[in-house]
Amino acid sequence: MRNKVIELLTKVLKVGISDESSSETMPEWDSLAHMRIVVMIEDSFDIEVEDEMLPKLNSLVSIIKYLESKIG
Amino acid sequence: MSISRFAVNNENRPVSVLVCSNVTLHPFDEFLEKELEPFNVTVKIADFDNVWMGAENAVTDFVFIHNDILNLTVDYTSRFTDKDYSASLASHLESRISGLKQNLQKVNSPKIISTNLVGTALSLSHVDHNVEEMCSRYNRAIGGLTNSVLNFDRALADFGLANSLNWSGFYRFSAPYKHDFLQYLAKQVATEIKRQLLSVKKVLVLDCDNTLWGGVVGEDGASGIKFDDSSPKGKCFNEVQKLIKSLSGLGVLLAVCSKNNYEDAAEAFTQETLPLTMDSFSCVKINWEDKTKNIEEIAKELNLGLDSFVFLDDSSFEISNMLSRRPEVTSLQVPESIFSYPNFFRNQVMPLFNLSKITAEDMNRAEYYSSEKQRTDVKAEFDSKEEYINSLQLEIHIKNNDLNSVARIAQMTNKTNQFNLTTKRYSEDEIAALVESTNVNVLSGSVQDKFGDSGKTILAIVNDLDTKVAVLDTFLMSCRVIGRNLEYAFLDTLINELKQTGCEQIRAKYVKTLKNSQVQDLYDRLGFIRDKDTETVREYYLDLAEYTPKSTEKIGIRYEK
Repeated sequence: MRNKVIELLTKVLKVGISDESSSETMPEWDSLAHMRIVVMIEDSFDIEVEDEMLPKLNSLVSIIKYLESKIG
Repeated sequence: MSISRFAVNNENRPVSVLVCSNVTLHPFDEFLEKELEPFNVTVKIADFDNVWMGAENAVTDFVFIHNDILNLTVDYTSRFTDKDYSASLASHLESRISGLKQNLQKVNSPKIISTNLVGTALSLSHVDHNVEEMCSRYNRAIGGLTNSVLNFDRALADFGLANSLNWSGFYRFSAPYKHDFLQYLAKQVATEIKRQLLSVKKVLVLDCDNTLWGGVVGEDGASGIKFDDSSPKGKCFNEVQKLIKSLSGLGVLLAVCSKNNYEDAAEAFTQETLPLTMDSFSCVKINWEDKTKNIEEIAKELNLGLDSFVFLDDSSFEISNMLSRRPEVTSLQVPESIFSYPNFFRNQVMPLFNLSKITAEDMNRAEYYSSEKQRTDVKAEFDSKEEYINSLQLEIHIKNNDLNSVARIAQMTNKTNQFNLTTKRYSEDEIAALVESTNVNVLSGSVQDKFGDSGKTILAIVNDLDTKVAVLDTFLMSCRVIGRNLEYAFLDTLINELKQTGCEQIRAKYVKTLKNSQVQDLYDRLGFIRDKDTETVREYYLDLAEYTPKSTEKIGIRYEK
């Protein structure tokens, strides 16, 4: 799962991804990129992200943590 | 083939495409770039909510416009109850389109590709005429602006609604499309851009047996081939022949290239019910020579390059022979199932030729003429202008300080030249400030008659309302409604309103420009008194108590404070 998330993020952000990657550390991670990341996560893992989670999925770590809680 | 062949600009820069949409289309830009990879194309999506202005400052070769019914700023649910919904929304869209048109012409003249507006995404089980009408009005307007209009309904149908729409994306990000569908849409747009970048096809070269008719004339005889309604397959060939004939009517040159005895094929063409005759073709090669040799001779005779040729044949041997030896010719094979042949011809063959341009012009012309022609027809029936104007059932809907129309009002001050007394230009921000000021009235009027809605076309800005002497800062009327004496009815209302607020006098000016001489005497005609007169400026005042209404025709007024 971790690899898949990194793959998705790389595809959208087009830069190297590390554990520190987040919207705060990366200028590439803007609101448009965020939109695409959410849509791709939903498509790839076949889930629907809750509205209140949208702003929180703003880093590699938080996305992985969220997906673990969601699909184990 | 080198890339420079495709350059549409002389500056050796990449071909640029600007995407304007009322919904979020990302990552459509990446998809489109990918589809157009060999052409060195850069794609930029105009800022969201900036759909109509995004094109303004860019040097652009292509503009792709996509407006979706899902995001038309107006509450679509009101369409069920408001009978004017479609008309007001359509005229709103039309005026935005004409604004865009102006912007685009100011910068450079890119080729414009758009989708048509369709109601599919919000459709009910029954046909909704309100939406149909709105879409058709929008599509007429956009048709007049663009070089080609892509059939968005067809794209949705090909893909299926459930596979196209992403509702959570729409409600969260105004991004209503699934990525797969965006990719598909990008492919359609890319095909159109490629078609316009590549040399235009001018010649359609056709085989005979099993391409123009069913069967082999050398074996079945002229009476044995199938080309008419008497057999199911004959119907298909008949339809294709008629489509070919229509292409020829649009300026496409036709040629025959067939391996046959000349006499056999020639006899087939003499049959009365065959839509095409020998005369339909600019060049005929019926012999047993290699087809690549024949097609070269046709090119020589017509004095056209092979890259403007489309070759249609049922034989896979002939097609692959042509593809490998004359790759510049676009070669297409007739589908194996003849029942899909007419559909194939419509969707694969016809789009290779430049029909879209013709369609757009026709649409434009049709729209331009239809309501104006009706007005002229009616005009001829009346003895006096007054009678004519009365017959139009004119109505002006005046709104005071209409915040929703700031963009259109600013646009009117910048666009209108002929019927414009002071020709003051305002930005949207300036208009918004005026609308909100308690000291200023911005009166905008939209005009309707029995033939249609001309949209917001009259404007007056009145300053200094807090004193007893108001100033008519701006008075203008769009040229599409000039000549119907609307200015009198509009001013009658304006002055009546001013009187009621305690105003005693109004001052006005005519400032001469190169284009506004038709209104140089307007205030004189309206009974204003001229008290200053120079080469370029005439100044007037009017005591409101002295004013008598000037409008003599039946013009309805609706006034909203």
